[in-house]
Amino acid sequence: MDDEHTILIVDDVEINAMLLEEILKPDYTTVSAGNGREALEKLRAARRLPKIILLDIRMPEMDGREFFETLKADPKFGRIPVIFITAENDSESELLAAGAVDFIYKPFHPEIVRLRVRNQIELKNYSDNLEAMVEEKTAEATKTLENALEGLANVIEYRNLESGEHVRRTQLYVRAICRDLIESGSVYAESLIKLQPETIMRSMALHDIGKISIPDSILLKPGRLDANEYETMKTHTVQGARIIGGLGDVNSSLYLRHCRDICLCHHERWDGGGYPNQLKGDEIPLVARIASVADVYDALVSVRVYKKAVDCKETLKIIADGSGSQFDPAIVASLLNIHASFEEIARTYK
Amino acid sequence: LPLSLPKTIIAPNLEVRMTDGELYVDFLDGVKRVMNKPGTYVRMLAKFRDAPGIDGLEAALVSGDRERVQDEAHRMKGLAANLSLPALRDFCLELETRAKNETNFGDAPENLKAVFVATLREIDRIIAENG
Repeated sequence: MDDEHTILIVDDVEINAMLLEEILKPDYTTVSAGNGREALEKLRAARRLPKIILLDIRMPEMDGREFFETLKADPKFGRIPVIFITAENDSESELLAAGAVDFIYKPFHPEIVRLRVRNQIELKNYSDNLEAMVEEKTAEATKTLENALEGLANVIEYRNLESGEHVRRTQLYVRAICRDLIESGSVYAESLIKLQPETIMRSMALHDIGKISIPDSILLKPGRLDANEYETMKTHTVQGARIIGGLGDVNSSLYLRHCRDICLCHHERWDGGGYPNQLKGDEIPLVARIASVADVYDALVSVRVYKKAVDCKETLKIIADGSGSQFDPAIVASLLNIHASFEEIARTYK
Repeated sequence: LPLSLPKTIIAPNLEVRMTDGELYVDFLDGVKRVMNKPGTYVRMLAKFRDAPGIDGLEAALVSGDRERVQDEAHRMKGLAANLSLPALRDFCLELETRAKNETNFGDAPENLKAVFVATLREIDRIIAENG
């Protein structure tokens, strides 16, 4: 099944399949299978899926109904249109309800067969084109939203009197940790693949978006914050999650879900002593545990209005000391494993 | 009918009704179904002649299994309709209908064989006429 205009004919009566081939061969390439099982084998081996399937109902081994159910349940094959080859007394309404697109009746009328097949293929092409357009537009809209949000994150960073590279550096730290956790076959490898490391990295840009709600007098204060000011500063986590929640449904967008989790939980501690919800261990979303290590590393090695930069060796020691108390031990182990990459990122994006 | 037969194909007697009044092979209808290509139609008739035929249906009738008779009759009815074999198609349709309510098919096996043999005889004649 290499041709893009291939039709799969599934009929145990060879002469019926030959008749359909004869009728359709001026316009299409046809492939035949004698029962549902053989048809599935041909589909699984196909380099290109057929445009449409013409399916007889009564067949030995795997009949048309069973094949159709198997096909519809398979995400790869479920969208191939199926026209049933039928006699007058087969249950049309039941098959239409199950997803059949049309029927070809015996005896075959060549012109009608050709028109029904052509119409369904045109409809499928139209629907495929529409879907591709929707996907393209959705990707464009998503990219625009992400760019706008990253721009906003940079604005907040500048307001924080930082260089604008903090966002970039923390994103790269997160990506480096994700890669190492996957490539080293850590306990988080499988989860991280599902969570999509590139999406986690993009989400990291917004980890401090909630700081937009913090007054300048606190955000830009050169000295230590007093207890009240610190409480206000801590609200940037909840405010960030609230801002992300206002952008769309976090349950239907992995990107927004990561943004929310990172904003809300990147100051939680492995031992439950963090904020805002005192989550502990695995209760803290994995993306936030990674973000926490990346954020603290960058805070330590960078100059801030209230502190000097700590050198990389000392930074590693501080984080290693926090393993199992402030940080997830597996993530700290990963940092220690790839600290040279972190140092390179810190040097490159000063 | 807009049908022109190529010279290499000898036109058979286009509608031969047997002495019993039955039409066993509707040649014109069959040729139309294969995009007006008589040679292709004759090849398909030959394929039908050489296929297992009515063995399955005969066995089902003898067993008295209604569901099996319905299935086999339905299958043969569709094939006969597609090959423009009206007598066989009609007989299978009648069998399929009867099998919905009856289990005793009486002399149906003999009658089926008679229709089938007459159909094959007519197919043989057409094939012979077309070399």
